[in-house]
Amino acid sequence: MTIETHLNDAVLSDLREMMEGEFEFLVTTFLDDSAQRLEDIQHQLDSGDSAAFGRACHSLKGSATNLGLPRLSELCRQGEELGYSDQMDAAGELVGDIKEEFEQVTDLLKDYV
Amino acid sequence: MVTESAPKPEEASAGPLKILIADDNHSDRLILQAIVKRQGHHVVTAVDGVDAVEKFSAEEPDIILLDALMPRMDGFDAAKEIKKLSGEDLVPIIFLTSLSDAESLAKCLEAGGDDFLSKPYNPIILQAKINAFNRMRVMHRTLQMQRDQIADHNEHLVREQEVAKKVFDNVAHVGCLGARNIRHLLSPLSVFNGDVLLACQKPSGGMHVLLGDFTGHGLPAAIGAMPMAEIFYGMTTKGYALPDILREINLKLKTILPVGFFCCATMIDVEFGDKSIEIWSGGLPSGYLLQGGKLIKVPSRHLPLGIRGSDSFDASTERYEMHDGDRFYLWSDGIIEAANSQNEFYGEERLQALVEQYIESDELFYRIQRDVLAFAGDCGPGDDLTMAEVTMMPEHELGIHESEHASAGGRGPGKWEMSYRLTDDSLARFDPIPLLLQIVMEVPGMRSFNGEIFTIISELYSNALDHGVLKLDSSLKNSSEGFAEYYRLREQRCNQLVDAHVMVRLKHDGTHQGGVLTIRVEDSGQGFNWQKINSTQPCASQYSGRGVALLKSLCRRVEYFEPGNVVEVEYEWRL
Repeated sequence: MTIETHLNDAVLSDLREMMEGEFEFLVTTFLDDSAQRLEDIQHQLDSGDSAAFGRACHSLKGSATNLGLPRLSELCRQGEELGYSDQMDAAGELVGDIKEEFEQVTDLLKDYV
Repeated sequence: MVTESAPKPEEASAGPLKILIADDNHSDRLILQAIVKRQGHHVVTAVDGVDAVEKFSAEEPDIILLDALMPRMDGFDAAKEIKKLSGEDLVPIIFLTSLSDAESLAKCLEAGGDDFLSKPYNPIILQAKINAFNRMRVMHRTLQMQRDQIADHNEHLVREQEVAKKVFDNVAHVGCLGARNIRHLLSPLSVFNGDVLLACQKPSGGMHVLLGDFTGHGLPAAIGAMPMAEIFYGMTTKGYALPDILREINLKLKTILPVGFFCCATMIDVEFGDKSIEIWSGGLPSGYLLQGGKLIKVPSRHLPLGIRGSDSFDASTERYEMHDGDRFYLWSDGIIEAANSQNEFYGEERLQALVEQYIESDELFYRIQRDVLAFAGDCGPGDDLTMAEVTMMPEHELGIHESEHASAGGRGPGKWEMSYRLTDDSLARFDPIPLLLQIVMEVPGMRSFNGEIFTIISELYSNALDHGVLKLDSSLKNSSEGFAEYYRLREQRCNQLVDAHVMVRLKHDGTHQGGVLTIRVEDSGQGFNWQKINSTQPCASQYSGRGVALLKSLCRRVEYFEPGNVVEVEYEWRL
């Protein structure tokens, strides 16, 4: 896996240009927010509320897409699907993948800023 | 008048807009805010649905970017709430969503969403959407403003028409359209499609009816109706004959109406005494006379009113006998000119067929109206159908009372006398009765007796002229052939007058509370055997015989002088 699997350089470059001085703030905000959402995802997984789990994944998927994080976005999409189709058996393993991916992009983004 | 002009769409779309961004996700909000700001617009943000509705009310943004899934209140409910609050205004809502299933997208539309924007946000696409929706928003506002303006103008126009209609009704209020012998169909605002129907009792008890159809529609068509009604009522009430009134109306319309504007009209004079009708028709479709069960078509013989100058205006009429129950029908050209979708006119033939079929039924007007509407279909003749039926009946059955005429208040003379002498061709051409009546009406309080005095003077004068000077035999009028012959002879002899005269002396003595009017009429004829008439029993139904019985019933003294070419009567009145 290359970096491009995790970070979409074109999207991030555009964002950096568009946000001007605020780019760093955007990244920090994203990371803080996403940590919260991950907790939310874990919480819904534990409570077994599959619809709420789907919604939580959907939310993180959206911002991950906007930030140009293809793999995180894709994993969240799978979580959303599992939640909405009430297939929570496989969800535990997927949440592990999402957390792992999030740590990875956190490191990569810090280098980017 | 100053009217606000609508903003030009180009100008409106060039300026910065206020855009509400509602998203619970902080980083997404930051990105969107940055994109929109870079495009030069103002941004208002909201963090959930409740916040979005509140910010919408407080900030009145132009366009809304709304996330679908948010805590407290989701985007669907917020959209419904905002659409409700914005009422008639168009506030475009663009849903921010990565929703991909059709059901969710349909839910956005159902909630009032106008478009979608998916993640990752693309600044170019967003710009295109904002510009497109802004153009739509401005167009919508312009349209609304123009719609309101049109509604205002229309309301204004209707108000003006109502005022004009009121003025017209005041001018036309003395009419006797309510008489039992008149039936008519006339739309309430007909004066604005140019149709006018007027009816007025003559002082002698007869009746004038005029149906007019002005060229054009709206105020231009209505404007000529006012002077026409005023002349019609004023002159009829004063006792003027139909040709004099037509001449006056024609001259007035010719003077005031622009070239190309005129009035097609039919005017009739109904005499309940000698049971006849005189008809003048200029430009309207043929009228129909039902005479003893027979249908006679009476076509227009003249140009409409307001076209010819006074010198060439032809006021000649046609006279028909009418028995009780006989009817005359007149209509405006809205009927025959009603067109169907093939641009084909309803035409006189269809009308005539219908008249023939339903003439004996009470439903004729209804049938005509229904048939014309069915013929025209969607092209509809509107409310342009005006028709009237005038029936001959005994005068006392008309159900109308002598109208009270508003008087300017009398300051005229109570004690006076005068004499007036007409000779030769003036006798043939001029009717002095309205003039004489007007002089008598100057006596304060006398106006209430207008009808009786008119009857007396016109009876005396026509005796003097027809029998005394023209030597016509009134018994001729007893048969249909004689009726026509009478009027033929009258015209012929009128053209051969030499050394003929009629002299009328009027004398009034009294106050504003009452008095005695003495009328003495002398003619250049050879007189007649008045002793014989004086001795025979009065016979009310016999109209021939100089109306002596009538005179005696109205006057306290009726006296003839030898050799019978001078008569003097005394009329006493008291308020």
